[in-house]
Amino acid sequence: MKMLRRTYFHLLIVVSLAVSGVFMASCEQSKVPTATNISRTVPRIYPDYTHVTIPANIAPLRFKLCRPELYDAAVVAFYCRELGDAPLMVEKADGDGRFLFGKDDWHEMLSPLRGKQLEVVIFTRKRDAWTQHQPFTLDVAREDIDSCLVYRLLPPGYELWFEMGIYQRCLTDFTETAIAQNTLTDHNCMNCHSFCMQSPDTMMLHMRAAHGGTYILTNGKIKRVDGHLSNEIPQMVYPSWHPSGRFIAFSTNDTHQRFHMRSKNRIEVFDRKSSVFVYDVKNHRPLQSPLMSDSLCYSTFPTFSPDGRTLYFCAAQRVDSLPADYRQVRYSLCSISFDAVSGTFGHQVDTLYSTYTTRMAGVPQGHSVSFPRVSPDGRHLVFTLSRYGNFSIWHADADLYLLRLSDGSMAPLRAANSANVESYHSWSHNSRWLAFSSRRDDGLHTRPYFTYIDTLGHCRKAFMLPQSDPSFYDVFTLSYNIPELVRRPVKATPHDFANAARQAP
Amino acid sequence: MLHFFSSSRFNLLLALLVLLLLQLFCAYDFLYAEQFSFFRFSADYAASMLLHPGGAVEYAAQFLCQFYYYRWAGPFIASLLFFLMAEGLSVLSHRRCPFFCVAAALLVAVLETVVHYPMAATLSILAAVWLTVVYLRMGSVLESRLSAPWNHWQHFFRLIFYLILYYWLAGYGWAPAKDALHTWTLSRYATSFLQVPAAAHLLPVCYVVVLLLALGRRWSTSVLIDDWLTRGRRWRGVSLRSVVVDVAQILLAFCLVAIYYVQTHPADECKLKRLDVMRWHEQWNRILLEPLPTWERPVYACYKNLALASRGKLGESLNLFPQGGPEGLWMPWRDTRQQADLLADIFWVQGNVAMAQKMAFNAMSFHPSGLCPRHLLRLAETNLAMGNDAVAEKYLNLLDDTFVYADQARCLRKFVGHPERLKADARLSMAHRCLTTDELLTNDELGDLRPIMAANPAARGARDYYGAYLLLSGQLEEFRYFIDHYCIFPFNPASSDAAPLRPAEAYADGLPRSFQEALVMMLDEADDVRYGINPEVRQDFSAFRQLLEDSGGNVSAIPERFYSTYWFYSFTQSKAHRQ
Repeated sequence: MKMLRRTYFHLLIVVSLAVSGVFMASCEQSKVPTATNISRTVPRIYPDYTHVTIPANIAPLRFKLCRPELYDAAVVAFYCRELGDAPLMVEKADGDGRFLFGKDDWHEMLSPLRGKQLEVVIFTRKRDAWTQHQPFTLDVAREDIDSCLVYRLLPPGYELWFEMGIYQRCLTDFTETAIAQNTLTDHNCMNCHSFCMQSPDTMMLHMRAAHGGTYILTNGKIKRVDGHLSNEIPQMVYPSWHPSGRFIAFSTNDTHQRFHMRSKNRIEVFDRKSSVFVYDVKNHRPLQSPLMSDSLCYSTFPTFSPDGRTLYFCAAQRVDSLPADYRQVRYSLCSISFDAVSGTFGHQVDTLYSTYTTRMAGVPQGHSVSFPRVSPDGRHLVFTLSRYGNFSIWHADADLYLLRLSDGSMAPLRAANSANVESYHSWSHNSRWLAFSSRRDDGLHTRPYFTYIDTLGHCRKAFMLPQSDPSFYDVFTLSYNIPELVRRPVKATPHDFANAARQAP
Repeated sequence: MLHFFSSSRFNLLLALLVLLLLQLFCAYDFLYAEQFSFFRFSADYAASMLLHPGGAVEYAAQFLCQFYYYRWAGPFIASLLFFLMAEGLSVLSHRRCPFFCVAAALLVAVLETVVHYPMAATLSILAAVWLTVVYLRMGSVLESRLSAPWNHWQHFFRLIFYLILYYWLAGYGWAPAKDALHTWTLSRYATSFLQVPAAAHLLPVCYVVVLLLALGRRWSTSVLIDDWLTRGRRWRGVSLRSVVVDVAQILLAFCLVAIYYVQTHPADECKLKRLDVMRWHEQWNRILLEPLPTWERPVYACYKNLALASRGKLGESLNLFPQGGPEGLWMPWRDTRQQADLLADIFWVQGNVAMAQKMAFNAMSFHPSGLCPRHLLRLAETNLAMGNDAVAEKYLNLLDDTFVYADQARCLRKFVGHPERLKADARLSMAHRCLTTDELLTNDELGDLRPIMAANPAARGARDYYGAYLLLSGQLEEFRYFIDHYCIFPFNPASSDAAPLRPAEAYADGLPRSFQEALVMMLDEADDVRYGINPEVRQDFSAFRQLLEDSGGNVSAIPERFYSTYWFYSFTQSKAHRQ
């Protein structure tokens, strides 16, 4: 027995020493190396965080060197020249060239820097000589971003899925939790999650196939609603909440999908029929206007203005020869007034961007609009513009454009756009941040990006959602779908939605 | 004898028997199951798995399953698991119940792995068994001396330690505890805070059994059974009664498991698994030699036709085996994994890169982890052929970390960013040349082949399939049009002179035999030279026609050598149609 206790005791000492050794090693402070060479280039880093504008509350922007094999070691130092020449944080790269900044250190550094600029200098060592590279900047915005991003994770496109879910990611750290998972609901399809004015307390999502219906979360309770309202409205599709939370504007779409035999776009999705209506959540009835349910037109992608008085949507003339003439379908951006008190629509539709008549410098003519979204301050409307059709997520040429609602002028969000797809987007509650999905990373998998938009509507270079491991996206084969910014985490859990799924609608 | 039957040597003997049986009857099951695992040798992957409760067994399961790729490995791993399970149960049951030990070990270690593929569940139970063994060996709460108060705490903490250790290593099986409600009411599988979904229907039962076994060692009934078994006649000190009883129990266990296997594993499914494995390992000759009722089940014909097309022989030997109709070329897509899997290969051989990609993607979406190495390879190929190198690289990154597929990934990686190398590669350049020049939408399987044939004169797969479809569906007029417009130059020969026509690049050595057989039915003899019809084909056709006339259309009078001709197929089909 004594022998056994002695063994335990020795084992305990060895383990303690090992743990403290590891702890000491991890606590070792990195120092700025003395460089003997100066390079005029910034080493390529992934994700590309060079010269971007970031919120002070964002999770650490961990990145890696694209070609770590070129260097024996690397160090990054952060400076704020306004505050002095001492580095605010210094971090050594690990063996794979990754800079894994600690969450607390990062936030401690950024918190006092709102409205200031950070200079980031990378030092690399080859043999025994250190090289200081050209610095790049990080502008820290005065305004924070909403603390959560809600998205759907699913395989990128095609027809089938096995596991799918709607998740929320805390933007101030790397925590991801599930809101709804189809593993609890017979592997059905769940989509189109939407929030009322970025509030996590009022949301909705659809489930298709098994447990089909629209699930509306209000006051902590989830209600399952049958989406089949009438023969004209067989299902609710693209949603937008009225700011009052009483109405949800929906489109109803007869959607079809075909594959390209050879195209960057891979897939073509088109509607053979679509219309827009407003659903009265309280009375479970649709409110319709003949101006948005004309059988000669397609109407889709409704979105309410923040004051709830205007409903924006996309409309196109019907094309009978689909799918052959799928390129002929082009949507204009329209609006109609809405009276929430009486639940009635105006008698006239205004066209803000006409695929036929709009001529404006810097804005392509004859293109097609999708996903209009008005900023919560009511100043700007951002939409996606592509050559044709409405499913811009599959159109490599799709870009984001901003419409100033005060004067009707439009301009592309050049700093945020890329040569590949920019499509779905959502605003932060303070109207300064726009989250959007883009395929610029590899052309297939959509990733969430964030861009800062100032009060005049000018945007800054966008940055990709940071991950705890900067190599995460190298092997992650799911797409982020419908990135929606939310002020706080959603409290509902997958089990809450699964319980609601068992209720009769 | 009881000691003999529960000894390690005896368990080893049984394990060898199991190995033999598995190698003989279930080898393909393991080769097939390999596709459902995806293990990566990467620190990030290990961390992502091991840092979750239950991740350890999932990690170990994925690690072991990757070796199923090799024919010998699956049965060996399953036998090893069987041995460990039987050994653990023997220890737990206090050298008792061979029937239970064998049956439970077989069921858990072998069949669940073979039939349902959740090896993590098997390892979870194995961990439960052996942790319980270790715990009991070190002294349990029940056996402790209760005199000193410290002993209580010592045993209590030891118990807690083992529970936590078990939960962390093999908590896989506890997933149902949290999600039981949804498991039983909503779906078969449930996800929880644990790393992986659990096979809820099996594990709780096994835990209870293990627990009972652990406690059962003190049951007085076992003493009574012991007494009864050791009485009666003896041979060299061994009770014959116990020998008979134990052998009977083991046989019964094997029989029950065999019945279970046969019932959950219909012959048809076995055949399809074998074909699937052969297809994946490109054993085309074996597929062609496999005796299959191709005329009854189109899916069998699909495999055989794919084997022919992959060897460039579909047009040549279309009627090598009895065809049942055009459905045997490609079955309609009905959202099943097996169809998607097979169609991905069929479309690839046809040169329909977009549809091959779509089907590979669809097939992969059926896999529990959402990743399947064989489909990742196909997706890498299709993306390289289409020039989407960044996407291909992503798939290759994943495959680089695997044990079995790393070499293939390395071979493909050399094409990333190097279109000139791709054009020099026979396989990928063929796919690349099949890409249509216009931005066309896929139409239907047959219609898609026309732009492919137009884009690539060397696309033999597309031509073979297109021609075969027309022939098997009896559309001879369309077939003639197809020959004139897609298989020979100049296109539309009616407008040219009587000079011999030049076959398209795909048929540089002349039109395939089956196509010639169909053509002679429509052409005048004078046109034979122009179309490059082999005189032997013309002679055979004349002989066949003569035989038919002489026998008055009696099929049985036709010699066997004509069975593999298109004329025989055409005649029997039209006769069946008339009847």
